[in-house]
Order: sequence, then C-alpha cells, then structure tokens
Amino acid sequence: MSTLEKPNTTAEKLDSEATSTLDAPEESEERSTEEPQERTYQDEVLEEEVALGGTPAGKATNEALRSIARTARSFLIYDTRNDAIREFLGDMQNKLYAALKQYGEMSLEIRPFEMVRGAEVVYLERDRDRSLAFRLFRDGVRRLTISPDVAWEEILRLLEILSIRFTGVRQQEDDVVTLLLKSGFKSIEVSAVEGFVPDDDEYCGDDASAGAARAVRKRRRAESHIDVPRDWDLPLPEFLEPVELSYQSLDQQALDELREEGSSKNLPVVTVRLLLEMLKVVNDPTDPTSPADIDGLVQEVRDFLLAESQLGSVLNLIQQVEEFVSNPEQREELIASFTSERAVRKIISSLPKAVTEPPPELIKILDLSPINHLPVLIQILNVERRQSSRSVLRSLLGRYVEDQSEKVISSLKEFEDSVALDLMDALFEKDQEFGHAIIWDLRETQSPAVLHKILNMLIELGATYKYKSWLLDLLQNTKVDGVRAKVLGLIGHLAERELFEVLEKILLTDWNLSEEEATLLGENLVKSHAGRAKVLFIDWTQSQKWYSVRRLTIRRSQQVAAIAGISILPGEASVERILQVRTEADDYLSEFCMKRLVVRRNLNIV
Amino acid sequence: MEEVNLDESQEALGKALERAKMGEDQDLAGRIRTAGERLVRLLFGLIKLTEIHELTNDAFIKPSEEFNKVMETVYDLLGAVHIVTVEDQVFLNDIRIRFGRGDSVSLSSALAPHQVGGMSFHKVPSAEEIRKIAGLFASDPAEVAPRAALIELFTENTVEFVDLMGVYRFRISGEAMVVEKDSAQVSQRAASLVDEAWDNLSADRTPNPLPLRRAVADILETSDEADVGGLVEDPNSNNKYGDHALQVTKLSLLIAKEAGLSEENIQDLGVASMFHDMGYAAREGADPKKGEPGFAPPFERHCTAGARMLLKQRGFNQAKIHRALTALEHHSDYNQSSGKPALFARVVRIAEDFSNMSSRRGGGLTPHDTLARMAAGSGTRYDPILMQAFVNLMGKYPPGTLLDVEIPLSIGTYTFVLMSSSLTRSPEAFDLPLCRLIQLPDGIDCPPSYAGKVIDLAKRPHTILGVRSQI
Repeated sequence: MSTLEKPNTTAEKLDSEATSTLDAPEESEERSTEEPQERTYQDEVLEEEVALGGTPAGKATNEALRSIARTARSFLIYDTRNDAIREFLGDMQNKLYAALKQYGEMSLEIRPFEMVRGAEVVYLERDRDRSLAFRLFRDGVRRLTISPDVAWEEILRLLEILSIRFTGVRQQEDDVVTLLLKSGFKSIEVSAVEGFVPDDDEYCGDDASAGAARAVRKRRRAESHIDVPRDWDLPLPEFLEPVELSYQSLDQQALDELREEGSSKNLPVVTVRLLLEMLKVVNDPTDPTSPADIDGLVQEVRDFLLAESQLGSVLNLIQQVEEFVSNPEQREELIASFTSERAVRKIISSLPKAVTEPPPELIKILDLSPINHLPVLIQILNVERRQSSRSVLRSLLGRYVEDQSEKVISSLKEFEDSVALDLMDALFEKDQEFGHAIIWDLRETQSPAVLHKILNMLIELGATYKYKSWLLDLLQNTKVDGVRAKVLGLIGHLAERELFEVLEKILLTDWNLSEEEATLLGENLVKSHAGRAKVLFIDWTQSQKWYSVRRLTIRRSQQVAAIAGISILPGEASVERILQVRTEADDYLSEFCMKRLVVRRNLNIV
Repeated sequence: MEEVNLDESQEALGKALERAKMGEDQDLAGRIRTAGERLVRLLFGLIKLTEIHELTNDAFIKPSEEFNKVMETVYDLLGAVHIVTVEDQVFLNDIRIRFGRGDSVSLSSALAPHQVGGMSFHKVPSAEEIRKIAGLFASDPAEVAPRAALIELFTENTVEFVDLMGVYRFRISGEAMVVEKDSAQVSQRAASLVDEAWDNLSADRTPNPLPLRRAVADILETSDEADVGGLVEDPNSNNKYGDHALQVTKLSLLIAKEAGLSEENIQDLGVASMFHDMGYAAREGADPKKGEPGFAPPFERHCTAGARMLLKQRGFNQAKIHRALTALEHHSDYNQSSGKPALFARVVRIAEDFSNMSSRRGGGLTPHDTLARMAAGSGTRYDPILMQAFVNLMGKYPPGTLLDVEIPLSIGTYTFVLMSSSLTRSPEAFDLPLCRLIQLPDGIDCPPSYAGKVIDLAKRPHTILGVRSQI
C-alpha cells in the first residue's frame, strides 16, 4: 500500500470502499430503482443498432445483420406466434438475400462488438446484452461465412441458434459453437476457437505451472476417487463362431431409414420409448430406481409431447401405461397428469392455426383420462384468446357439457362474456332444447353481447308467449343498439292489440330510432291492428300542400314507419299513397318509398 | 430468392425455440447467476480487504462466512465451481456473471499478478479457508513461475482443493483462427474429462455434458482415416476405463460417419458414448449420513443406473434423451422381444463389444477374430446395417491385428509379423491394410529404426499366412 498523507482517512476510505463492494449488490439494487425508466424494455430490445457501411455492400450487409439481430432479440418480448415475428422474418429474408444476391458471399470476421466484411465494419453494438457480435465472439466464433446460394432452411436454423442464445443460456448442453457444428450447414461456414475450457497446456504442456497444477489434481483425485469396478462390462456375451468377413455395399434405403430414425422427427417416438422403459425399471422390484428418480423425466416428456401436439405419441403412451405400471394409483396419476388443465392448455395452444376441430387423438386421450374435463375446459376458455383454439374448445365442450348442462347453465352468469358465449354456443350446438333454459336464465343480463346472443337463439327457436312480457319490456326500455330491431322481429307473430299502444308510444317518444327499427315498428303496428295503423299512417304522411303545425311535428322515423306500414297494407290505395309521398319527398324518403314498393311486390301484396 | 412460406417458417422456429426453452432449466440459471455474482463480489472484496487489514482482523468474519454460505448453495447446484476471468468478463461454470455498468469489480486484475485467470473449487471452503485463500491471492507474486509458486503455497496451507488455471484471453483475428490440435493431446484431454465426469457422477452430482461435447468436437476435428490412435488397446495404459470409454467413443463416431448419420447425431452420439458405462459410478445402498459409501451396481443394473444418473440433468433435450437410452440399452440385443434398441444404443453396442472382446481384460481375442465373431451376430445381437458398416470400415484385418505375412524380397521370401494399422481405405483394399513392422523373420524384434515403417499391402506382393494372437 502506498504511503499517503492521511493513512487513517485513506484506510477508512479503502475500508468503506471494500465494504461497499461487498455490499454492492444491495446498493446497486437501490440505485437501479432510483434511476428513472425512460424507455420500456420492449423499446430497448427492438431498438436497432447503429446504421453503418460506407460502401453499398457494407450498407446492405449492415442492414441484413441488424435485421437478423432484431429478429433474434424479438423472441425476448414476443410470443413465438406473434404477427410481429412474421414481419421481422420477412424483413430479414428480404435484406439478407438482397445483400447476398447483389454482393455475393458474406464473409464476416467476428470481433468482440463488431463484425467486419473485408475492411469495413458492418455491425457494431457495444451493449453486451444486445450485441449479436458479442454473443458469437464470447462463445468462440471468429468467422461466419454465408454463401449466396444458402437455403432458407439454413438461415432459419442459424436464426434459431442465435435466438436461443439471446433468450436463454444452455449452460450444460450446448454453446453457440457446438450448436453451429451440429447443424451441419452446407452453405454457412463457421470458424471457431474454444470457449472456456482449460488450456491444453494444463493437461499436456511442459509449463511449470501446468505441471504443478496437474500434480495437485492427481493427488486430490487419488484421495477422493472411487475406482471403476474391476469386472466392469463382464461377463461378455457368449462368443459365436466366426464368419468370413467381406466388404458389402450398404443398402441406401436402409441407410435412409437409419437417418430418419435419428432425425428430430422421430424424437417423440424415442422419448416415449425412454419413458416407458424407465417406468418398467421403476416397477422392477429388484432395481433401486424409484418413481422420484423419473419425476423430472415424466414432466419433461409430457410437456414436450404436448407442446409439439404429438397426440398420437401421448395416446400411445397412455395406452401402454397399463402394461408398464402395475400400481393402479400411479397409473391413474400418470394418465391424469397428461390431461390436467396445464396439459390440455398446452395441447390446445400448440395446435396449428388451421386446426379448428379437436383431433381424434385428443378426444381419445380425454376419454381415457379419469378427470372431469368440463371445469378444465371452461377454465382454459377463460384465458385462451386464439379463435382457432376457442373453436376447438367449443367442440370439446359440446362433448362434455351435456351431462352437466344444468350446472353449466346455472353458472353462465358467473363467466365473463367471451366464455359465456362459447359455452352457450356449445350447449346450443349440442341440443337446441338447451336454448330455452339458457334464454330464460339469462334474460335479466346486463351484457349487450349476451343479450344479443340469447335473442339470436330465440330467433332460431321461435318466440312463444312465455317470452312476451320480457320482450315487451325490452322493447320499451332497452338502450342496447340493435336489440329493439330483433325484438320487433320476434314479437311480430305475437301480434296482439295491446302491442299497438306500446309501438305507437315508441314512435312518438323515441328520437333515436334507426330506419330498421322504424320500419319494423310500422310493420308491427299493421300486424297489431291494421285499421288503427292505417289512420295513423295517413296522418303521418299528409301532403305538404296542407300546411299545418301538426305536420311540422311529424318526425322522419314516423314517416318511415308509416311508409313501411302502408307498404304491407293491401289495396291499390296503399300504392297510390306511397307514390304521392314520393313525389313530395326528399331524396332519402323517395328512395325509401321505392324500396318499400319493391318489398311489397316481393311479398306479393296486391 | 426461393419461395418460402413465412407462416410455416415462423411455426417451425417457434417450435424449435419452445423445444430449446424446455431444455433450459431457467430457474437453475437464474439462481446460479444471482449466487455467482455474489460469490465473485465477495471474493474480490476479500482480496481487496487484505490491502488494509490483517487476515486476523474481525472485518473478515462476515464476508468469509457469507462466502462459505453462498458457495455451499452453488456447490449444491453444480458440484465443482469453476470461476474463469477473461479480460473483463467473469464466468461461473460457463455462465456469464453480469455486473452493472460502472461496477468496479475486476477479479481478473486481482488474480493477474500471479498469472492466474481462473480457479476451480472442488469443495466448499470454510470461512477460515477462504480467508486464507484471499490472503494467498493478495501475497506478493513470485518472480519466476508465479502460478506454480502460488500452487505450492496453496498446498502448504492445506487449501489445495482449489485448482488455479492460467490466464485466459479471447483470441483475436490475426492469430491462428483455430487452435492446432494434436490427436494425442485431444485424446489425453478427453480421457481426463471422462475421469472428471466419472468423479462428479460418483459424487452424486448432476452430469455436465458440455466439456465432453467440446472434446467430441475436437476428436472429430482431429481424426482422419489414417489415425487409428485410440482404436487399439494400449497394453501399458494405467487408465483402462478411460481408454475403453475413448475407444468406444471413437469407434461409435466412425460407425456413425460410415452410416451417414447427421452431424447432430454424430456429436450427440459421441457424448452418449462417453457416458455409456458411467452407471458403474452409481452407489447402491449409499448413506452419506451414516458414512456408508455403498456398492457399485452389478452388470445387470449398471445400465439402469446410468440412465438414472443421466436423467438428473434437468431440461428436455434431444441429446439427453438419446444419452439416457444409450446408457439403458447399450447391452440389449437387436432382436430382443421388446423391439430393437434405440439407434445410438445399437451403435454403441457394436463399439462396446468390440472393445471388450478384443481387450486383454475382456475376451483377449484378436481384432480380426473379434470382428469375425461379431459379424456372426448380425441381425440377432447387432443391427445388420450398422454391423456391415463396421465391418466395411474396420476391414478384414482391423487395426491392431497381428499378421504373419510372407513377403517376397530380392533375397528370398520371408515371413514377417506385421500389425494392421489402418482402417479400410477402399473396397478393393478391404483386406489390404497399411501395416507396421513388428517382428522380423525368425522372431527377431523390429529394430527401432524400422519401428514406424509402414508397409502398404495394397502395393506389395505378399501372402497372409494367418492371424496371430500374440507376438
């Protein structure tokens, strides 16, 4: 330590600095919470690196690399199915291939924070968490060369590897170099050096330090090492009689089958095999392997198969569990774990967009499971937003809802609208008879969506007198757009004289009627009491030649109702009345008159 | 630009990333990062503290105890703890420890005077021991071979459970792009890594395949057709198990290449081969609390033990599945009633039986005899295509086969003892390997000046009189 003027002060300072270093994480945590957050995490992730490139080739390369980096980083914030990802992919494809087509092979030297093409820096990002260059460099990649004829499949695989490194750490299986090497690229070359392993000198070198290190390791190993048993791999299999050896060409088809077997497409089969074999081992009383030893495997296999929608493999597994697991409780538990809420949700969310009906294997799986699926499906419906998934769920619900229909109907009020609507659809599709119970139970609903739904159901079923009071009440009091029109459509055949005053009152007091509503009101007035309606209509369609204050109070909606009503009254006089109104009407009313005359003709009213 | 369906690309990419995420034990990674950061800060802080306080000062108590506690957590999770500094980066078991911007932690600068770039803890140091370690790091470095001197000091102070590694740096462009590797060095290192993996598994730790994966990549990079090192038993070796694991690995890789398996499969198979017999590291009936070490499983249970140990590694991963199946089925017959074993297991079965049957501790058969007897099991014990691929690449006289060969010379025809030293070079040369001279006529040993002489039977008139079992 150097001598300073005030050692005590300096010592204290050093001490406090040392202490603060030791305590640094807490302080830095406090510091970080005090710093203002000006930008969101999304902004940071998607922000592009600096635009570089002096030459056209440099610029094009820079754009392509920035696009690749951005796409790889985007998985940090977007779900893999998000439309934004698709856009980034398209952008990346365009820019990369444009650069390759125009400027040929892209050979990039990888530096800690830069990538260099020729003598030009074509990528720069010094933030270690964002930098594509740093991620590659840190894992040992020193050069990356992409040929102009590179297939899209290889680019996707490269992107996959880079994205994996951005979104996670494969701390014990692979790093970028091993992933790149495993990919067997034909048009992408990688040059790499080792990552963080001890130097070869440590094990083989003559350096004094390396030798000393080896001696210590050897001593330590001798103290703690457990020897391999002397009889490992013995006894050997019985020796067979030798045969003549000769070179024979290998059958190409057989080789293809081997490659197919080793490919990732076969992974579900291999995975199921492993699980079943381990279940057999667990059930072998002579083997010390316990169920706890394979708990992790069970969960992982389940999650994998479900995420990959490998329903055939799941079904195969469940069907074979009986053979491999003798304990009935364990068997049930295992099967149930494949149809838990989490499991089913995984299956549903991993089905491709194009699938809107449940696959047959899924139905078989659910049928094999002892669980009551209805609450599970309802729970998933609460959170699943994808339309195709909801369609699948609705179909599934239809299978299970019938047995518990009363319970479901009585609890419809408790669900949020989207769930309630899907449940209603499922019930209604299963059996329209459920419709009446649903409508009756939900008639007091405050939800516009649900109200429209039950009205639509009633339109399909046909309204009966049972619903008259409710419909009348709706007719007079509803504030929900479009409801009145539906109700008017429904009460048409319930035409009774008491309706007349109600309808007339609406026309006289409601200033916000739509054309459709006014039309329906007019028609219904006729159905209720044609004679009285006619008098009303004549009043509302007085000629403009007759000046009166009263005529000035007739609203457009009344005129529309009158014309609509007159158009369905029999007799030539009705037609004449409409034509007369037309001659004096403005463009809107004139056109309406013609529309109604067409309707009259279509209805064959004479 | 080829026509692509971006929707399908997105779907495929999404699935691949979800699969990759399933391979992550993110909880573990998060815990390691948090604990790792704490550990490094404490270590750095302790070293700096020695600049102003004597080691006996009470100021060391709290941080030392905390270091011990955090190290216990990390050790529980990972086993041996490796801290590596590379320029301004710090890695704990390959996981980068992130420090905030402006942090003054620079562990590498504290270690650099002793030319130390990293360290491995093979046990959890007590508070007392970590205090000692900090003091040793803070001591004045020796002028000559400072790291060796420090290692001596560590030994003298009974803290030799800490390995000290040399300085690391990132290789920059302009230097050799790829480290020149010697096949023998690579094999030696791979064998050490197998030993280390064995020790970790026998101590009931989670398997760590990454170092072995790198070793496999090196083996693939440095091997060529002429290199039969590691395929022939070394009678003088003290590491029979390591040699066996390496031999099985190399043979498996050769079979996989001959059969045209994918690069990914080859790499994964290499790692699986290295782990294939590690089931013997398991301990049945062990009870550490009572001090009972347990017993190695017998032959019939070493496969299930191996699978059980390998499944301790969490996270779904294709390589792990293959590895576990290889451990489980590598002694199973091809035509067993429950269906043929998994692909990797079928490959390793061939390599394993060849290694065992031709070794002295096993069958003691000649390589030729081994292959000929194994070929008889094609379709029953062994996958017929893989077996034929193996026969094709090993040749009629696999490396290590001793041959009595009559060779006409200008002075007469003499019988020499040759040792086959190559794999098959072509279909036409299936029974015409490269050979090394072992013995002259009349039993005279090959003179040293001819020891490395290669005789190409494809280019030399000769008559093979027979295969020898020994010299």
